[in-house]
Amino acid sequence: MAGPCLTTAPTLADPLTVNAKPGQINLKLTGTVVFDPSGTDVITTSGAKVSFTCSAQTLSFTGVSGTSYYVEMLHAGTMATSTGDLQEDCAGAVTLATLSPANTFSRLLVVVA
Amino acid sequence: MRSSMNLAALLLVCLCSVAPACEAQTTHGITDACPSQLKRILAASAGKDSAALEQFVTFSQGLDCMTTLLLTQGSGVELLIDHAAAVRAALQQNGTSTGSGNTTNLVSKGATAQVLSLASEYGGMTEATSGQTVTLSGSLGGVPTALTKNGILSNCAGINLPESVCISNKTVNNLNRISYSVGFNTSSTSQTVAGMTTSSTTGSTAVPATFTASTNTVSSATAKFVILRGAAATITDTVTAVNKLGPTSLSGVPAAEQATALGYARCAMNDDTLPAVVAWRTATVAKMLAAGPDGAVQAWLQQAEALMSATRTAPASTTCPPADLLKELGDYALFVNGYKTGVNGYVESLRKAPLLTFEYDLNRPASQPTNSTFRLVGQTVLGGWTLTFNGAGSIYNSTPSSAIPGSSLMRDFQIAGEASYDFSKMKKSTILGHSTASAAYYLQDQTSPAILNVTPGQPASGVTITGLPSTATQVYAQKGNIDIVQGKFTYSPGTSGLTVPVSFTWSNRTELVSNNPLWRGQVGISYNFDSLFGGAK
Repeated sequence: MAGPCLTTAPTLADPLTVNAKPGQINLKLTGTVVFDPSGTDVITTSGAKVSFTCSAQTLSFTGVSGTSYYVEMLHAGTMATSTGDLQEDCAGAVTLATLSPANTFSRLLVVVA
Repeated sequence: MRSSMNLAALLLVCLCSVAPACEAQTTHGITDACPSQLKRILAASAGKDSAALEQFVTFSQGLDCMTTLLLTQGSGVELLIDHAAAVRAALQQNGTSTGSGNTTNLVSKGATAQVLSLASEYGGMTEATSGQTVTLSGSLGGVPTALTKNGILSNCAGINLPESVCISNKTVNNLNRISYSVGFNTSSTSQTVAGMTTSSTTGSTAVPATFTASTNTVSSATAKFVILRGAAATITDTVTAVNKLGPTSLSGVPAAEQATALGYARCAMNDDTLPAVVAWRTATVAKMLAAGPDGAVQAWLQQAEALMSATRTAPASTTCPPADLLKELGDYALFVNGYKTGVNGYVESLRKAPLLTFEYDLNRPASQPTNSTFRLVGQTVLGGWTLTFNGAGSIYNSTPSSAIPGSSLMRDFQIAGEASYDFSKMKKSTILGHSTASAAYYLQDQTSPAILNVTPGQPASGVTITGLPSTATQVYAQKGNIDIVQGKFTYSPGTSGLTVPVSFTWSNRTELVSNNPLWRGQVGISYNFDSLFGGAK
């Protein structure tokens, strides 16, 4: 059973930043879109590679307090109009980003407080 | 650049004329991907501001649309000149015009021939050689796919390149329903010449003769049209396939090319924090909301020039040295088009097998009259069972000699059926792994006798004929039914890479030899070394 959420949705004022609490952050992708693991990555804002796991529709990494992470996603749709929502795999999850044909490669900043 | 793009447009018109549903349109000179996405976002928020709308106008979350917007600017055309020059050079390498002094071409190639040649070079068709036979094969969709992957055409689901035309994945998929294969006999004996004296003058040192040539350069040709396609892959199928693929790219774009394009993307994303870009974002969202859902796309397009001004204030950083942002985004656009084309091919490869296919075969066997076969192939999958049915009719391409009793233009009728079971589809895994078992039956009703072309003193290769009159040009066999039954088991345990096929075949006769039932057994073995070295990747 999914646990409590660590992340909060981006705001209108800061649409590219996701604030999060420390811990294992499990992201999932809904809809008809899949991650392309060959171009999906998690790196700190200082450029350090972070250990993470990625499958077609899940991505997990451990967020450490005081560190900010870029979650870079190369993704593909099964149809030309495919869209998918990026959410945390938790109870009452909210949409963190929408992946669509309009953003083949996208990046989200996760700030762990 | 214009000449190569016109060439691409010409080819697109040719391809669209045979595609059942060809889409090659753009709106405002851009593909429909961004306007559609903008409309979806506004519809979801009832025309109000939302995080998705704010993300749409950022490089980090809406890079493709930001690139699309920047490339609508006139100066964007200049960015792709280097690429256009490379394409033009590639076209010119495929043969200079006749009469230019250093050409090997007898006849100048047309534009389509040049593009097909380019497609061959860039992967639009495949060439295989076996012994003295060269086989060219591919599907009609292979040509636009190759052109899109190499930046000559754009993908309608991607980013329209300046002065380019786009072709949709749907059109490519429809073109891929038509495939072809042509076999060429390249042996030195592909043309044989036979002579016959026309005078019985004895004692003469010079005798007149007539010569006949038998040319057999094209040994076979096949065209297939998929009438009913199998079901498209579901998202579950795709997720399963991607997870099996691991870190390999879905699109087939080379890793180095992808890394370069994504590096450019990261640099562009850094511009999101520039004050000028933040201000542009605020102004653009306000204008789109003020314009309402119907005018939002136009309002967004009108912000292109302002975006260009904002990005030109970008300072250099340590990770992204000073560079021409638009040039880099032009390269990113090329990647996106190739990527979306490659992914479409990957997803299509997961589609179930065709349900109904029409096939035409032109057969030009050595020493036999040419014939054409028209075949319908049906297939259905039920659990682990695959059932295949064939029905065909074959005609001679010219009416056989009336001297052959019982001969007609109709050569034969054929029906065949096969039932195959895949043991990997069993609920519980067994030692049989991915083994398959199949049984097949084939019936050919010969309505005309099989005919062999012969020349006096030079009968058909591999056939010895005694008592052949010197005037005979054809021999024929006894017609009848040919029945063939085959049982086959292919042992393929797990992921070992080992495959051992064993088959038994019985036939009541062959085309030439009647009243002589034939039993034949075959055993093979193959090993896929990828399974041995896969773990070393």
